[in-house]
Amino acid sequence: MMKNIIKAGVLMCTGMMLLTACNKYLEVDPDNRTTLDTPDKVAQMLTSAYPASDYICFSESMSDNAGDRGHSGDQYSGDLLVNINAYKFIDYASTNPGSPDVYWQGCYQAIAAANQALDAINKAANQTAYKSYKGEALLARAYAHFMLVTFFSKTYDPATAANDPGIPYVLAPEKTINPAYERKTVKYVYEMIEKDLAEGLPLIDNSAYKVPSFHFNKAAANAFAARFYLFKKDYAKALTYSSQVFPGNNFKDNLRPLNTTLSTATRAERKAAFTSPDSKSNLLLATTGSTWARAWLGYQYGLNEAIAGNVFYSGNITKGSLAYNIFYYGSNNNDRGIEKWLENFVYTGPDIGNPYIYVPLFTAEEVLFNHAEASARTGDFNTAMADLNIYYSTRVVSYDPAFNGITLDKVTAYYNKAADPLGATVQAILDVRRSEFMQEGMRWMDILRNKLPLTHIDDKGAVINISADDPRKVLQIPQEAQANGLAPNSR
Amino acid sequence: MNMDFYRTFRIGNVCMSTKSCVRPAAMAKQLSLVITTAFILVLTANRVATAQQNPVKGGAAFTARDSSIIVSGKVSDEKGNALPGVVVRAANSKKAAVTGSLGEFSIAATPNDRLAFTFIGYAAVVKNVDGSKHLDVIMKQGAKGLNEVIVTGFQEIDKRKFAGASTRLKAEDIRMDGTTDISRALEGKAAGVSIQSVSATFGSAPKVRIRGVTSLTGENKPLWVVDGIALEDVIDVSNDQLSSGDPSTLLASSVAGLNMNDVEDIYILKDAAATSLYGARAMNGVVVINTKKGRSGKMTTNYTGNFSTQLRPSYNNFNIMNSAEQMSVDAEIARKGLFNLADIGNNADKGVYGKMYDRLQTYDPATGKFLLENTQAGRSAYLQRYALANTNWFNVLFRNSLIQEHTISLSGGSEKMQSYFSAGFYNDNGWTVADKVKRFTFNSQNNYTFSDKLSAGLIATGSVRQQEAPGTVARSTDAFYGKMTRDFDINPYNYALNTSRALTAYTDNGDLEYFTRNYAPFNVLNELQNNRLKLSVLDLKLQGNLSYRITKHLRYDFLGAIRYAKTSQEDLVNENSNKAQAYRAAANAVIANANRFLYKDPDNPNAFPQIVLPTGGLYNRNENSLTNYNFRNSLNYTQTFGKHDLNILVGQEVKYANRQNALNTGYGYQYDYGGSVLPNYLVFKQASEANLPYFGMQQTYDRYAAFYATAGYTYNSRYNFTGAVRTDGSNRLGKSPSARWLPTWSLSGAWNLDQENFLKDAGKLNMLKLRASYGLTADLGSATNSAAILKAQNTYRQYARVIESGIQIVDLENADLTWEKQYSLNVGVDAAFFNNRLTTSIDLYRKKGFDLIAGIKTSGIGGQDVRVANYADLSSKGAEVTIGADIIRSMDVGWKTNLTFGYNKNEITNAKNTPIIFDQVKPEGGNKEGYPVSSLFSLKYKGLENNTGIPLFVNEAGEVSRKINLQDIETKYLVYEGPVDPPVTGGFSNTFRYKSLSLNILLTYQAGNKIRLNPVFKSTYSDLDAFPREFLDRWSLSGDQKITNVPSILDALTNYRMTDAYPYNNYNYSSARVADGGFIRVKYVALSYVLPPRMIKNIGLNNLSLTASASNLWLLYSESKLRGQDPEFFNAGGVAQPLQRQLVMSLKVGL
Repeated sequence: MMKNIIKAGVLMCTGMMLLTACNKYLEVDPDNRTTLDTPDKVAQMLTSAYPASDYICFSESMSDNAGDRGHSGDQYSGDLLVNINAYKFIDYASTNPGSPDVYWQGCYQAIAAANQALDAINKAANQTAYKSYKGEALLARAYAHFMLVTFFSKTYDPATAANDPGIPYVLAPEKTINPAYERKTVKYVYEMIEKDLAEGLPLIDNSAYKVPSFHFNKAAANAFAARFYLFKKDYAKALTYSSQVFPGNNFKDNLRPLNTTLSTATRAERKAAFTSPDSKSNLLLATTGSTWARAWLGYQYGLNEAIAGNVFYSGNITKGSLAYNIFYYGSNNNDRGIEKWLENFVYTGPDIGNPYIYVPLFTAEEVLFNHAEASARTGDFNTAMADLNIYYSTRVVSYDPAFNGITLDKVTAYYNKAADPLGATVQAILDVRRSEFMQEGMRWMDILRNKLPLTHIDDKGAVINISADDPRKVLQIPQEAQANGLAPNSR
Repeated sequence: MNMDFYRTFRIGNVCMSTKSCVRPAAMAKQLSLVITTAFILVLTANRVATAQQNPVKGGAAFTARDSSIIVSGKVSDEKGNALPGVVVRAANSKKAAVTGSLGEFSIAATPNDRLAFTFIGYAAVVKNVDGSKHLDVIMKQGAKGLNEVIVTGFQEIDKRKFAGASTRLKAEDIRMDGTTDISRALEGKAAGVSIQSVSATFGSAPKVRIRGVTSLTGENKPLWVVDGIALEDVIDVSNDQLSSGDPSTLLASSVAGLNMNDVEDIYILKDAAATSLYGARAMNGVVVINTKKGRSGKMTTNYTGNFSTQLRPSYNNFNIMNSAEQMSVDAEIARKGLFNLADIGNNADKGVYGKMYDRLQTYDPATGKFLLENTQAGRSAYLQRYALANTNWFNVLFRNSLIQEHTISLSGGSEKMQSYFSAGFYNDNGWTVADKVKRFTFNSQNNYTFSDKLSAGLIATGSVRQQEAPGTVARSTDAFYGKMTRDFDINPYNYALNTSRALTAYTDNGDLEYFTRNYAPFNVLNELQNNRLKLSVLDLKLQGNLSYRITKHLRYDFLGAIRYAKTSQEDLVNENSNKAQAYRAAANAVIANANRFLYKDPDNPNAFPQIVLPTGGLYNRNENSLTNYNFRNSLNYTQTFGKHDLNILVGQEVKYANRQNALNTGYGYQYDYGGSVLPNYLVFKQASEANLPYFGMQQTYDRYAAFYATAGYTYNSRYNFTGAVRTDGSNRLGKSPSARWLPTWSLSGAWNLDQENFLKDAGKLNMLKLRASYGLTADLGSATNSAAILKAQNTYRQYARVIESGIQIVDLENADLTWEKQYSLNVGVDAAFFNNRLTTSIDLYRKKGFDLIAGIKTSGIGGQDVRVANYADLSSKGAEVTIGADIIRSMDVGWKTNLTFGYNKNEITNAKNTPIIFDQVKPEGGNKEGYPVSSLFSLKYKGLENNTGIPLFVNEAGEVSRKINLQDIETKYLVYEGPVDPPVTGGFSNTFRYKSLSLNILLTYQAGNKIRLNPVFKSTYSDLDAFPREFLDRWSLSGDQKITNVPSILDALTNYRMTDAYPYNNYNYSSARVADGGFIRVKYVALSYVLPPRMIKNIGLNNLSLTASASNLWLLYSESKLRGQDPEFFNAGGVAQPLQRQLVMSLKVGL
């Protein structure tokens, strides 16, 4: 009997040893998934740390760049509500690209990727090997939050920022289903952005990137800082950062060659050039799932004859003609546009797939305008005028500095603001921004930052007046986020 | 004598060394018996010893040896077949013997002895010797007999002690000649098991459900266990994929490699108690297959041959217009401006009208004329030929095939070793011109007894399959337009049903006639020859078991198996195929710009689209392999203390499975030029820009470990209690130890009422047992993100030079991830009456699934808007009834009947997924809270428009409209039709016997489900399309909307103005296009003749039988709305084929 007990015992012990061995045995990953255990993998993770959805469609439709084109939208544009509801300032839920909900998603997806990378970096033994990627992750996280707070909260105002509701600032990967998130305040969000920016910017190292134009390179990081401080109304810092983008502030060689090389390009070449990674103007490109390239032309509300005339053909300070190629399409004179967007359709099935565009998140032109505005606002009108002249030298057909060159006097005279040189300069910059960034969605950010009022008239003649402080300027928090506890914006 | 015997029923020597053995004198006598009668003793010494220690009560006192007599005789079954291997035991003399191959026995007994005859699967017989020296015994097959065991794959349990819900099916009872897939043979045979043949192509698995579904997102497949080892599928194919017609469906079923002739029996384990030892893999039930083992005794050889043919389908069973009707509809379409000669020339697909255009445009320099004169007379003459064509595509593409299946098996052995070997060959030359299958199988089983303590077994099985199918690619779902699409589909069945009968396969000269598809010449026969799919499967398994008896009551068992399987799929696309030529179709700028198989180089923005496959065809490979190890160790303790029976089993199991998928796309393979390869570099540039790598490899790693214990206790053979616990660990949930382990358990009890004194003498009642069980089972859900899942994915960039490798978050971490679980309660009763001639089994169950995986919409702030989590609940209930009756049982005439009925109803009680409309209306159904899993919904049809005949529906906003956004998440305006899976399933079989002739008829039925009719409506038709006859009733004039539901054919202008509405496509998904899925099918009819032994003995045969059978003959009942559509079959194209009518001649010979 004893012998049998021993035999049984031996067998059971073998079993117990197997049990302990089991946990090791079960450590194997079930499939080809990866873990972020090398700097190279962290770098790869950060390719998805940029918003993969566009703000162009809704922000362009909300801005005064959009007007009624006199026909209903066509089928090739897909979902038309992304255009119509934005134009009419109607809150709605959507899962279609071009809607605010989907942009919200895209930003938080980018943030999740950045946080996943930061999480891996914090756990890594050798922090220095990850230094530059930590910088990129912090900047990417700051950028996505900045865009969210810009669209979904009240524009930063030092007087009210401590009370205006912000957007959740996410600092770590989500580990459970639907944890609680809170909005806190715009001031808090700006502080967090500034913190990430300050920590991340010095760590950026261009040599760490395989394709720098798709990553927060040194120039793009400084361009972001300049935009951020302009919104924060810290003009000295905006000037500092906008001066660090190009060595020796050589803007001229980095602007789009509209009145030279591109003036003879075919339409297909223009499209390709605008979002090309080879363009020196494109400081940072984001791979963006978007129907904008195919859709903008068919939307009911967009660039029409009246707005095109107003922005491009009603004269400018230089008295020259601008080298923008505004095309109109088909029989309708209202379907105006500029060939900026080249679509890359990635097939997922025989006839279906997803369209992608490559949105320049920061361009040399924007840096130049920010540099000019920050200079003017800190009292340096000479630099502001010099910057504008650099800009016009690449835009005016057959530019002649003697004839086309502008001065502060010409600017104040043009805007009839002799007593307000700053107001005139800012207005001049706003105007070039509007024409330069037509159909890029940037105009809406200018409207927000400068508290501009606007008026939309829909196809039935109904007038929608949006005042300077209209609450509808702030996009509504997506329904699903509200359902999960976020307070809606006031209406 | 209890079942303990059968568990120890093992070939042994007669125990030469053990002290507790029979006395030498008796030993010598037994040995002499062995020698003189050449019969084999298959007793363990242990059993003999036990018998000696516990003399049978009521037996006479021990009688002196010299008073014994030798009793001999023959044991046979009811049909008169000799039964070898029957154990004969004499109560007084304590002798035992075993019948030989002719069923004869000889045993030393006392004149007043009692002989007990026992044999697995047969009711035990006890006979008094009464001084006679000759005794013939007939043993009755006792499927419900007293001594049946339940084989769970872990244990063999006396059925009387077993409280779980299970069904045993003997292979010979469920055999359907000509059916090669064992899962199909289960249809209608076991209550609660639903088999839906969504496709019947060789190798494709049917949809098998045991007691309905248990998961919202999982595969809901039962666990298949062969000889104790869980069968892993080489490729995991999901629910929806099963009916997709994709090539992978032909390779998914591992059961397809199993030869039906090697199967001994099948157990279907349904409730928590029956499946308890499968713990966290058993939520969907378990099918245990036991293959044939060798028997000691004379070597026997058996041959089985099946010769069958599948009947060609006929237009009589369908509802397709003939060519004259077709041409008149085409003429209407032409009048409506859709075949405008100016437009049709550059169409991708061109039939009769397109060809007319081409001929009108083509100048023949030889004659100085156009190929066709553009005159009324010229055009009429041209169209006339096609109006009269009436092509029978079924005759062109199908044939009455010949299928041969041969199996030869050899069985035999000695006391120490028994062996079984079988080899099978299956050859199907194809129902369609594009199909072919060859399968070879072998199965070798050997059992060894080293000593009375140590025994072992070895099994080696293998199968090789070579199959050809029409070339196809995977189907893709397009929710935007609301359709499932498949490029280059040439499925012959689909083609025959969907291609205009006005088209002709041959010209008047007898050459192949080409029309146009994908801008390139197309003839289906040419295409089937030049675009083929070659599949091959190799599957090998080596399995061993070892059993060591530590003490009389304690046994150690080891079971181990190694399996390697490899499947490969080759697409052979010849340069002459339409598919290859579509890559080169660039006749003019319009076609070049429209042809999506051309390449637009982003680096050259001003250039025209370019051809990437200028020469050669395609050679694509897709290979899957599986390496699988399984090991199990267990200790079994059995003891009887008076009226108390105790059985304890503890054990441990480890599984290892690595799967690999490798694919390779080969461009520019020149089939007709000796296989040289001439690729164009642009194809690689395009592939890299579109992120479609030209080769790839994926691996998955499955690691699994489990510990289990079960204890059974029986008091006084009446009250049985069993408890089981098991804990399972898996790596599938991801690299987080918290989710890894899951304990499961079950409790069950059975009460053998027939053993109670108050019923013991109830003459008509043979057996009555009440059962109840309750327990927790589980399964791995589809989610694997207990840690965040990050996957490498190249970035989608516009130029190849800026593409970098990236990593994406596929799923965020879900720290609370766990297994899907289910509590199930089962109560049942088993009864047998009238000498076991009427048996019945009734089960009622209720299941509560919880922690089920489903999608949930989040705030999106974590970075994932829809997350999957364990939160959904599913409740289901059901009933099962099996009634078997031996209505007539006499020597010459017999009538047996068996009825099975299963009912299962489920409801999703909690799910917060937000399906889009398309997910709900597609033929496979969708999931929604408050409805059954896989519920079919429809767009609410609101009649035809007054002046256009365009169908109208209630759209996502609740308004009546032509237009519906199928991607919208507002699903409350949809109409609920019913579940896609039938709630009621079952079968009714009758076997009539007259002397050696028997007739078997099996009907199967299902009811309560809804199916979507084939999508035949489109907004525009090409002149290739065939129309169903419904189109004759179409709307054509204002006012028709009052009398018909068939929409009009659109004119070109209305279609142009339709903008973004797709009402015709929506019509396919509307309530007007749904039918009831209930049917009664004459599944199988077989007439068998067993030649009498005296006739065949002379030619040296043991047995010979002939069977003529037919399967899937016709539907006795189905809804008329189906108009020829098979209610089980999803006509998905690709490699899918419907159930075929099959006639079989079967020959069985035993040597």
